[in-house]
Amino acid sequence: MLALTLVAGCTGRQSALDPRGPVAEAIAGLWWVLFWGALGILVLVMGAVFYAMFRHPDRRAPLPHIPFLIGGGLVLPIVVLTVLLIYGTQIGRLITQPAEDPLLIEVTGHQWWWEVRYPARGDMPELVTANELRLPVGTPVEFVIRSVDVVHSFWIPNLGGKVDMIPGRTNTLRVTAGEAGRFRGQCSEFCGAEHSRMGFVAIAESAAEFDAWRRARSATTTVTEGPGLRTFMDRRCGECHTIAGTAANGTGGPVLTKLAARPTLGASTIPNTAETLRLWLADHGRQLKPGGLGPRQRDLEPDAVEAIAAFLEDLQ
Amino acid sequence: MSSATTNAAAPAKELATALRHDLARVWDNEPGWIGQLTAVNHTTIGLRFVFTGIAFLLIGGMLAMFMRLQLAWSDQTVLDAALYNQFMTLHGTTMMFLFAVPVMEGFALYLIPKMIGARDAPYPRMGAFGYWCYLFGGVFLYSSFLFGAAPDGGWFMYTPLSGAEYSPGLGPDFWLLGVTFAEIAAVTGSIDLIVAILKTRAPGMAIQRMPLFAWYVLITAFMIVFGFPPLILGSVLLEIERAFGFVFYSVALGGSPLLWQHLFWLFGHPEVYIIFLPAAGVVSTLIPVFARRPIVGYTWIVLAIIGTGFLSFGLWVHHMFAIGIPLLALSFFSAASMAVAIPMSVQVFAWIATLWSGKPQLRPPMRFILGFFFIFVLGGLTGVMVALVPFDWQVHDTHFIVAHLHYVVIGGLLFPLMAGVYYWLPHVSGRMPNDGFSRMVFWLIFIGFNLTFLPMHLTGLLGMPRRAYTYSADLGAAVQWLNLASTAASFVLAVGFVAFCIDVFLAWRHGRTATPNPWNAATLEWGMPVPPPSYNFIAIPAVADRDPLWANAGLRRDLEAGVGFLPGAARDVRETLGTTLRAGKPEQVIQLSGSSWIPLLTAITLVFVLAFFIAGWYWPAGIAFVGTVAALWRWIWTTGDGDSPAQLDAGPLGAQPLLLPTQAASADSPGWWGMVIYLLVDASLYGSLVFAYFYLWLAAPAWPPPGHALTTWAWPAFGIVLLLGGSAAIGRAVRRNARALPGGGRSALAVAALLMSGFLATQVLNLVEYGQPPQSHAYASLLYVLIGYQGLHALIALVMAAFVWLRSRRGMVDAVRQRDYRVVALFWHYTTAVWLIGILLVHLFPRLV
Repeated sequence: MLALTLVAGCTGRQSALDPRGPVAEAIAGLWWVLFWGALGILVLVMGAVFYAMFRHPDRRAPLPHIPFLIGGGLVLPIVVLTVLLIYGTQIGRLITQPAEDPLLIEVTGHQWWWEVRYPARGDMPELVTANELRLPVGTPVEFVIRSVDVVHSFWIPNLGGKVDMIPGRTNTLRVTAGEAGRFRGQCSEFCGAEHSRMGFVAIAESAAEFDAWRRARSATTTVTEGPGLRTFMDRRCGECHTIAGTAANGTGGPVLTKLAARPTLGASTIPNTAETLRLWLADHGRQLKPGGLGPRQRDLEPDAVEAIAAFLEDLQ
Repeated sequence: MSSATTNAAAPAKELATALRHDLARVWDNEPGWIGQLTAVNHTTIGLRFVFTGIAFLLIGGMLAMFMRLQLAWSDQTVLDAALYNQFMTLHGTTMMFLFAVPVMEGFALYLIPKMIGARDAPYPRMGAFGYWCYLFGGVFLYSSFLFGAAPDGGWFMYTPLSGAEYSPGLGPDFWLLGVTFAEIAAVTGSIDLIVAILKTRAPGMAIQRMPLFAWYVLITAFMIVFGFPPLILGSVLLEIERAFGFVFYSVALGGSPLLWQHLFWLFGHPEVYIIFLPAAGVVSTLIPVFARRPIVGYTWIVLAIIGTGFLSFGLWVHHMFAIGIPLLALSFFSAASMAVAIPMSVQVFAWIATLWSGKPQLRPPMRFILGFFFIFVLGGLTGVMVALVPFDWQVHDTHFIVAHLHYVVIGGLLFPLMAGVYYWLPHVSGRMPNDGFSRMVFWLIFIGFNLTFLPMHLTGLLGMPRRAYTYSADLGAAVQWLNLASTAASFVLAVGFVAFCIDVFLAWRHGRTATPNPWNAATLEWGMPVPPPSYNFIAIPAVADRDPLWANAGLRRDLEAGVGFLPGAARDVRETLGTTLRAGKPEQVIQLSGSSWIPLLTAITLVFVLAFFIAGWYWPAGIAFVGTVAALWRWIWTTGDGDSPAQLDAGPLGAQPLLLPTQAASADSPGWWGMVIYLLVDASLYGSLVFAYFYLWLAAPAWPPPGHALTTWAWPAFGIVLLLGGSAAIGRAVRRNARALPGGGRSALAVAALLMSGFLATQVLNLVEYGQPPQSHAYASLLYVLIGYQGLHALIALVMAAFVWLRSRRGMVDAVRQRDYRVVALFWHYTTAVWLIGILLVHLFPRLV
């Protein structure tokens, strides 16, 4: 069963064993070396234990004590560990090499969502979104990692290792997407009640598609009225949430600009569909993500839910 | 046997019986529940630690079973996030603080005096006090459930999550106060065991001839001495931050969340070796017995243990590989983390060599040792894997680490522990374990454990983070099925543990009666009747070999006949022999405390202190603390025997008298050595505070920050003069007393106290002049803590001076019995040194840089 799982189960949307970029590949390569090496050493040591324990004393080869202790206890580990240390340090240096002109993406951790900001670059304006990322294949990316509250950790296993998001400190993570695909990232430093429901979707696509996406996302239309917007502002949603092109400009909660285009809601808690959106709005996620932060008055009556939902669905 | 020998044997037997009678009268616990509450004997207290530890193991295990149920499939609702996070926190906290360290401390406390030829540990009341602190600390922690405030920030309590802003309830306070309370047991236990091993070994047991288990415990105890204080300091600082608004970990006013991580892991890494080494000591003890030959590479192993002890303090940053430290610095810790595998390998190969060159037999304890080999080596190998930084960057904080840690802890601690339970069961109970049942227990636990935790390596690599109350189906079907398999297997493991408890219980009650040395072991604890008498030895034997029972065929006869030092209990006082550190030559007669209420009462005063504190009633907490001080005063006043002569005959019966000083008259008394080791603990705590000071300084743009101007030189300079004067006066007091001038000694004490009080006044005035409240910045908070800590030492020094003054007046201290003066002087000079360092830190260094 384990073998079958191993064969079928290495692939995955959040799997370090399914590398989709050079950094993750280097680490996965290291893993397989470590795996086979460790297996070999385990077999060797257990073999010696069983031989020592169960082979009849009269038929056991005599053991020179000091050479055995020096060979097994000192030489073997010193050699193996030195080789490993050199190999590991080289890979470490390789995967942290800064690139010439990386794409900067700022990700800031909040309890329990991700603030994502693409700074203005060339003729592209700034783009602010939440809980989703897109990367162009083949372009080195440099994530600029921060936190506003507690320690979180930013991790996309298919692409590379993780780095912690620490308040008062800026960290850096460098990855390159090697192929197109849809990957999952997840917070991996315990950050409170809904730590488990703090994930995001990272989509890697061709440079052209990425540019098109960016342009589309940055092109906001101004909306100044409508029943949905009115309900949204009346209920004071705009005090925590920003929607570009409207009067809503709060910063406590995730940006909702172009919400309808996002793959998930609640930081990957649930997929983003018409039904789930209304489910969320009915009590601001109290059922779906109970520990999540939000307004004191969470419940919305069905009319308001429908109005706001329709409004948000128009934000494409 | 000729009639002459028979005639000689009869009076010898009568003599031995009379000696046993005397000893039992002096050493047995009082009857009934009063006896249980006042007991201080190491056998009783050691067993108590083990039983309580196993109870917490079962409680922590039940929490884990709920966790496994919740994680059996994606998106389950068996436990909601709040409850899961509480269970997860308490599972880790219970296992690490309330099971792993105390249970091995119990083994050590029970076994060490017996193995080294002593009647009891040197500080019986402190051992009992440690137990009560452990028990009450654990109960205090769990009482948080009753208040709906169980801690939920993880056993590692990272800031800022565990700070006042993000965890406003009482949960973290229960953790900080309860765990620190329980940690007292680790510190008192280590002082007890260090002095026991260094100063109370049997005559002739030179340090290179003592049992390996004693080496393991000695190094572990020193690791506790240096390794626990960083966490104690960190916890105290966090509690002060939460309760009073001081600033150490919050970024806004100069604190750093990473300071907590450093302090925690400075403790946390040595902690895992503190947990493992005594268990490795069990392995080193059992393998020679079941291989039926002495251990191969005794000296190699001793060097390996010492190497492990030192190295383990240089690894802590490997828990922080992902926080964004430059790769070069990380490489150092990576190299050190791998290097620690080398002394480990030395031990493994020494064990294999012993089995290989011996005639091994597969008795019940040995089966668990084989299980230990497989599981621990596997865990050690994954440890080497995660020591490599790039690999750790993928698996850090995933279930791969959960798998690794359970392999090393369950393999490295629990399997040797179970082996040890089966091995020493005949010693404790006088009955043998059952081979068939123990085999079933072994396979249930071995198979259950591996099937539970092996899959977690894979689920971690497939993206499942740790400390997560649920996971998404998006992670893939493999992750779901593997978790289900883990949960199913965990029931097998649970059944195995329950079976272990039942098996041990049944064997204890109904097992086959054991002969005195059923495994034909070599160490001294098997030289006494089983179950052991409360006094261990009728007379302290002379020992000349590493494997005394194997090397000396007549030793058992001598032990039974009471041939040896300090025979019986002629003076109606509990006594054991103090010997020199290296060679083990007889040096002093140590008189030990009998049953007493003081340890329990002192621990109870501390319960009140903590309960009032957590309720926010700070003045009542202060008053309760005065009660603690009063209890401690009474405790120390009744140490030893104030009426005993300065010298006693410790020699064997019928031999030339061997006059040795009693401890008050010895330069190397347990009181002196206990103070020395305590000051190492204190220095480690103070050193951690100095580390915190420099760490926050380095992170700050300006130090002192603007608006926190340093005060002038006048106060510190004047203060230094008073301080040094005080130390000089204490030195004079010691010398006056030594020259049989008790009056002169007392006056010098008074002068010292006056100078110290004057000094304290200057410090208070200095602080008033500084003017800024501690909540204004981390600099202010540190200043207050430094002065508070140093001030507390000064106040204790004053109390100690008053104590010695009174003792001198009563004639309990004189030119021959100088101990009290010397101990107080040591503490006093330490306090002076700590103050001088503090003054340098605050007044000199910022001006230099």
